[in-house]
Amino acid sequence: MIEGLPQIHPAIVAVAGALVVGLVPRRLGGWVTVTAAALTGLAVLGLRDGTTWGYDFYGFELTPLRVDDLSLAFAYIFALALLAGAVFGLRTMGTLERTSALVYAASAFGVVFAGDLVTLFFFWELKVSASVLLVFARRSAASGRAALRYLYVSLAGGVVLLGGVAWWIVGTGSVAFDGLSVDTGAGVLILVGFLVAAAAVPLHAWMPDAYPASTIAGTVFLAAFTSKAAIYALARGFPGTEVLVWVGVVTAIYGVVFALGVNDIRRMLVYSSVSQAGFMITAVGVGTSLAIDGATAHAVAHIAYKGLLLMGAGAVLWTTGRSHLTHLGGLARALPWVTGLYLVGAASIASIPLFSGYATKELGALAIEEAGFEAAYWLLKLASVGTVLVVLYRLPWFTFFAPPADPAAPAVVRRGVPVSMYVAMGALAVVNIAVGVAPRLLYDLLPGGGLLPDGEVYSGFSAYKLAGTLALVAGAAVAFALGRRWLVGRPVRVLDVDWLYRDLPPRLAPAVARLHLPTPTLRAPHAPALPVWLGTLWVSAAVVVTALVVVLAVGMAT
Amino acid sequence: MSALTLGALGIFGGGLLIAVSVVLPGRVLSRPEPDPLPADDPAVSEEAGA
Repeated sequence: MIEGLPQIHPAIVAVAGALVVGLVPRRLGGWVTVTAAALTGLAVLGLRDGTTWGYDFYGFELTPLRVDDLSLAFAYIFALALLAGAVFGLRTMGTLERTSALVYAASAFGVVFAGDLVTLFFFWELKVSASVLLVFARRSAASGRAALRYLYVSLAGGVVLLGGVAWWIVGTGSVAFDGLSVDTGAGVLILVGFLVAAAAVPLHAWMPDAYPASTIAGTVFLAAFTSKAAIYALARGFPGTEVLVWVGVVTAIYGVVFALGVNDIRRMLVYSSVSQAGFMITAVGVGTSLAIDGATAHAVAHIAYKGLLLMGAGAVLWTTGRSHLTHLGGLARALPWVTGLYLVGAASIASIPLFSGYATKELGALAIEEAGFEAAYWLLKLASVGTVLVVLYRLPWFTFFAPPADPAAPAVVRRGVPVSMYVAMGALAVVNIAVGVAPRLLYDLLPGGGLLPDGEVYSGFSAYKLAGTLALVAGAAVAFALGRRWLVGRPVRVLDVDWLYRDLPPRLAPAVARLHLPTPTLRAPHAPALPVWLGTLWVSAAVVVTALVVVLAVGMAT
Repeated sequence: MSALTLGALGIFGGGLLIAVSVVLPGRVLSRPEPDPLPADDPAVSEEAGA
């Protein structure tokens, strides 16, 4: 916080910036985006703990701005992610990406500062719209299809959330966004809506489908905002909900298993994000002050190191035009700085001492262990092994260090990395190292100050913990060395749970046909694809109608 | 938990995760996909969503 700055809602600044970006010529748009991002960051720094803005809305007290330790911790890292992403995409982004990114960030600020459920829902849905446009912005057939699937799932999650919010307000008479519970159906619906956005298994498949389909900079923004805003919402609304402990554990392990199996390096990193969200969800489920600190710290660090990792993968894609392991290899010599900066991010997520992940993951792990969730603690350690295998060994080895996967057509650097990309990556690398070396920089921002139950300040720098962490990383190295041949890129399209509706029905069709029953046509091979705009319109109309039905039904029931 | 235990978890747990990844995303919930080399121009290759 900086004394003397005017208190302005950061969402207002970001949306104003988006409007200006839309009006200025494209060649100026990059710098306008960076400026808008910097001003949005200043707006965040100007907010004072305890500030609230409220107004009466048809008898309900709406609070579009509620500033406290928890919301500020998320807002600070969102501001950093916005600025770093804007600088990273200075040369690569078009007007649609720039405006979408600023509106997307505005919606994320709106979510974390929302003091009531109505405001929360408004910004939640704005977030969906802006993020879908970021995927569309790649302007390819594949990204259009992925964006449409993303839109369907997000809006379905939004309808569930809206139903829960309406039910909750009618049932309790309060719109306040605080301390919800799963004792009622309304609370369960809200929780499911949050879990869809948090990419909790089995509601996660939209994320590794859509995010890597976005543009180079778009993926960086996407990885920062949606799921972290959902983690914030879970921490605010459902701390201590025990079912989240096990949802988180399953998500953490599932994510790394799939990250080990996919071919696209950015999809690999997004699956790793699914896994990391599992760690945070588990900590929220534990719900103690230390655990919420752990979840918050992990979310903050995750945005910093996953942003850096996705920038590294994006730089590879930008320079070579390739992102599949089956087309990569041997790039360390041609891209030494990208390799080095990527490895800073990898060391951070792998919890190597003196990098950010070590300071934050251990905080959550300690809280989980102290709360008596011994099995969850061990299973998360197993997920940590998977994280090390994916991000520290598999991706960098087969991208940068191993000989080219296809010696006849090795990846070649065809254009240089813009300086702006290096600046953004360097800044995030500095943040990751600074937090790793001096964790109190981050702990001081946490709601509980990173304090242990006995009031002592947490410090992970004990010889016992250092040895354990290094042993885990070394053990994973042995596993990688022995199992490397099974981790090479494979030309498969991983459908994940989408397999249930994308592959299973056509496979079942012949079996149904053999029963001599009338079989509906499952797919018309030569039928034209549904236009994106028509699909969007159709889904939006369906959402509005469903929302009205839900609200009317709840109203009539009461 | 001792460093020895965590080292063992790294080796055997890592092996287990690799084995499951070969089967689940590698075989069961996936489909073979043509994987042609991208075009020489980065602007029209995998960057464009191939």
